[in-house]
Amino acid sequence: MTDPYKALGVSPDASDAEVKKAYRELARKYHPDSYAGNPLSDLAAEKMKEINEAYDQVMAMRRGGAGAAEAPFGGGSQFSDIRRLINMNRVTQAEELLDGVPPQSRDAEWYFLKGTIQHTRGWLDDAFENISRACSMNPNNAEYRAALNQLQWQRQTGRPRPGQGVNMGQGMNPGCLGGCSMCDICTTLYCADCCCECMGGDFIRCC
Amino acid sequence: MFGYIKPFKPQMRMCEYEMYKGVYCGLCGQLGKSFGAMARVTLSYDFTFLCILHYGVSGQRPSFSKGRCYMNPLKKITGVEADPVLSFGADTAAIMIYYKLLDNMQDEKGIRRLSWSALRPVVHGAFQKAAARQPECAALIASYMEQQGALEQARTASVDAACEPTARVMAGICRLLSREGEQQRVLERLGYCMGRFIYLCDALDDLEDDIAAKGYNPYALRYELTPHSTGEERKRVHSLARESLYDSIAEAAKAYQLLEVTAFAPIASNVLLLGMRASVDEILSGKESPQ
Repeated sequence: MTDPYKALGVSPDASDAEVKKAYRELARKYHPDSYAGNPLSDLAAEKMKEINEAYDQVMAMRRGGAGAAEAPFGGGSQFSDIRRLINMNRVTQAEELLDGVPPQSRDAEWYFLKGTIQHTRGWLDDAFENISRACSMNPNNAEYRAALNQLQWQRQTGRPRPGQGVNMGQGMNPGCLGGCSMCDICTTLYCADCCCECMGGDFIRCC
Repeated sequence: MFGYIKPFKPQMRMCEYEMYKGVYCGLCGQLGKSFGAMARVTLSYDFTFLCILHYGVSGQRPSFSKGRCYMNPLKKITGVEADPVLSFGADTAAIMIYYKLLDNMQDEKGIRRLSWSALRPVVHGAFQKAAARQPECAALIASYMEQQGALEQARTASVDAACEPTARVMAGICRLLSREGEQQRVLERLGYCMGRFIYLCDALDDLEDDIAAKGYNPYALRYELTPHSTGEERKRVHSLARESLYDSIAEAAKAYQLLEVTAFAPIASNVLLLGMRASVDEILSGKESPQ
């Protein structure tokens, strides 16, 4: 068994909060939702498992509690066998079956699966079109919506996964790429105060 | 075609920049050593990144040494010494550039075609040497370049189909960087997304020229752009192209997250997260400013 601290990227004397933070960040990075429709989803799942185990182990070592679990990608539908093939990465077979479905019985699920397969192949534009179509045919499906949101995020930003800043590799600091730090807030307040004083008013009394 | 996969310098640390430059200079030296001084002009960012990635996944360590720049002997540089990683990078570059030249000869007419033909003997010599050293790589590139030619002849209007052969070439090349099964799969996906990115960047960059000259361009065909298309229509295509390129970058980054990289990780993330996006923005800002 490898060192669980190493797997989480923290030192053994990190606090519980630090371990938790590192775990959350990694779990977000390798979350199955991020890798839906990706040929490497099994590797991401493996990574996720490693992280979960490492976190469990660290927590068990520290106080003997149990850790978290993850929910895999799936769901029941009329094309459930095609879905299973996609999950097993047997894309060619899945696509053959899917293309055999006559055009009149192609529903939202069909377009979603078609889009997922295309995404796996790297045909990103066609995948986006088909998943958008699935979403407009069935706007209430949370899975289609999540997949579309993910793609839209990527198409707008050029980065994986929506939400907080991505931290890939060592030494990259996404904090400096945008957002507002404490320093920014103080500087802004200071500038606002100076402007007020120029005009004869006062924004912050003490300076 | 080349030079879109590069680092974003403002977000690099000095040490990272020096290391990147060291590999860049090292690759230049290797090109000279493998194919003669003329080959140095083919040096590009993309193959520098290929070498960076290769060092990262193979565990081979580069050794740096001081020297002088070949192009500007007054400048002192620190470059990587010739090694198998650089040699592989230089060979792949030579093979790719040979096919690029053939493609250019087919696309161009008149005097420009003649000038490309004049270069052919030089490049062909390098190609033969490189292909003899890397037969696997040469066979791979040859087969997909043939498909690329056929697709362009058939004037395919699907953007995804048009970039498939180039994407496959890069996938195959990246796959060769590791011997380990899982890593190979990750590298394949990473390469596919990078190849797609390179092809689409090139298509977007040449969009105006291709429309004017009626050359093959997947964007022009897919979105039916003609010399009479309005600025609005062009803008719409630009933003669709940007989205598609951004998506390719995000997918490449997702593959990279799964890669076991033991060296140059900050440089590789800089290229993938910031540099490639900056290339897209650069291409598009050049397009939108003159109008």
